[in-house]
Amino acid sequence: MNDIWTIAVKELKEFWMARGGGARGRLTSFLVLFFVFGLYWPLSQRQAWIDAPFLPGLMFMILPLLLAGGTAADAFAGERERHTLETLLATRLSDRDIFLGKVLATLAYCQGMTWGCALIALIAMNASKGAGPFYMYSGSALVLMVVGSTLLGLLMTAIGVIVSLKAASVREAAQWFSIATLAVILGPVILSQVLPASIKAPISQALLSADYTLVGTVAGAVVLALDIVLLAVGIARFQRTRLILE
Amino acid sequence: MVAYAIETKDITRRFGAVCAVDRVSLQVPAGTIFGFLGPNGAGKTTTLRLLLGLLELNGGSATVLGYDLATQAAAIREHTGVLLEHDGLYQRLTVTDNLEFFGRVYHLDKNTRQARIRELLEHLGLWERRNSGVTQLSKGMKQKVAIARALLHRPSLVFLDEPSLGLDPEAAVALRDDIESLARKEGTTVFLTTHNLAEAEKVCDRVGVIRQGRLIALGTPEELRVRTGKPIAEIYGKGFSEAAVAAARALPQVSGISVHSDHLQVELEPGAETAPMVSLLVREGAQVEEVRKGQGSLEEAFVTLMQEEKGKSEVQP
Repeated sequence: MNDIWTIAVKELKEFWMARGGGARGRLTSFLVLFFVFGLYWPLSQRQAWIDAPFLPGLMFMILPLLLAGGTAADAFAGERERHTLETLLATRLSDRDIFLGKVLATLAYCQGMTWGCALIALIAMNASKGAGPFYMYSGSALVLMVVGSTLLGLLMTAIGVIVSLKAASVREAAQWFSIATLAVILGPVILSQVLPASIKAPISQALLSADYTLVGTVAGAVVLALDIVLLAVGIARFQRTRLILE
Repeated sequence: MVAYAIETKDITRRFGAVCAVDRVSLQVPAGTIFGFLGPNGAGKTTTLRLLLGLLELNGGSATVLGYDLATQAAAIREHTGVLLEHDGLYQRLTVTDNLEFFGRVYHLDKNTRQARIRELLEHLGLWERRNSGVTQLSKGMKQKVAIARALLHRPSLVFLDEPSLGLDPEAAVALRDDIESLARKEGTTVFLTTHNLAEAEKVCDRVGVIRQGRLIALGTPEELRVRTGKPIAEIYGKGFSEAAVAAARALPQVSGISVHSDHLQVELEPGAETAPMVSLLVREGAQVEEVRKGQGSLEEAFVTLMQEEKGKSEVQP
């Protein structure tokens, strides 16, 4: 675990330093994210958040989809592009620890930003409530924010790091990752369009009358299974004797 | 402690139809600086990658620091340091951040890490630049930081792949001196690949020469010079007229002459005497002030070796 953490800390430090413009410039780039997702987003949708208590959970669950790309694409393609990969592979670190360290760094960044934005949003909602009651996220929203966003963040991170393993450059990795993100977001929508009515109708009926806790739990279990499979694929795919030749 | 830091027996690596390393057998005694010489594409870097377990062997066997290459590559990497083709430094981080990271990778505790970083950077004259970003350093400084990184965890063996490549002559000499002094001080074995033969001649205890994946010579630089280099005579003086040079060139014991501003460099046949040639030059009107006789350089020995091997491969069908 110590080695995974060492890699993750180095990754996060590099990611922080990659945002040029000195400490102020780096901070500004994060402040923009906090402003959009922590202030503008909740305040422009205040009433919807109050009327549909699960909505903030859903929205913050999507945030890792937008954030994972930058760090994940850089994970291995960046090391390859900047000629640091071979030196890293020549250290005592195991293949598994290097891979998981990269995954942990990306996940930590995504979840840190997501939860940071959620906290700022909560403060903003209460600071602007006027005489209204204290606003707090519902239980379902908190579960989606904590568990749902972590599972989805891990899914996108695993996809991104695997893409980065294969890509020759950060740009190529980012392009492939964008396609993968679109597939994850648009996949269910496209599937609902192409499914024959005979299959769609009972699914729609079942969803309308379903217990949403059960649907959420099943969806979470499916994403968790995908996470585990993708992590296993990534670990199996990461072999320094193969990587050195690519 | 093992007697040989590296022992290979017929190690082979192929890439498709190309045999990049062809049955190479060598021994590198512990605590020595070993130079692995060869032209570009000869198989130096591939050999180094094989010895680090970064590539798999197609044949043969090897032990590095007593660990079996096929089954204990992780243990080999634990006890070795590297400076590969690229410096491998994280450009976005500072010098200290880079060394801190690698110190953590090798599980050095905080106090040891800090003391060691200071010791190495002070030795290399970079302590004042410890907080500089890597991008702010010159190529020579980056190479020095990479040397510090390679030696940080006090490895028993260090692999250096063309460490002075791309450096200006002054920086190359400074780096060479640093490598030598640090390696000797810490008793570290150094496996150095280079095609800078002057560098190899100055720092290496033993050298191996590789060409087209095959090891064609192994020994001390002196042994290689004697084995393959022809004796050289340098004749200092004045009045080396064209006629005098032509007469000397016609002597059977002379295989070549090059004329310099203040001296002649004469390549002699093995066992040749210089006295008849000096007498001839004097008779032709030259004023000889000094004659120095010795073996050719490692560079000349290397060129001879390459020519011999090229001749052999042309003869073979």
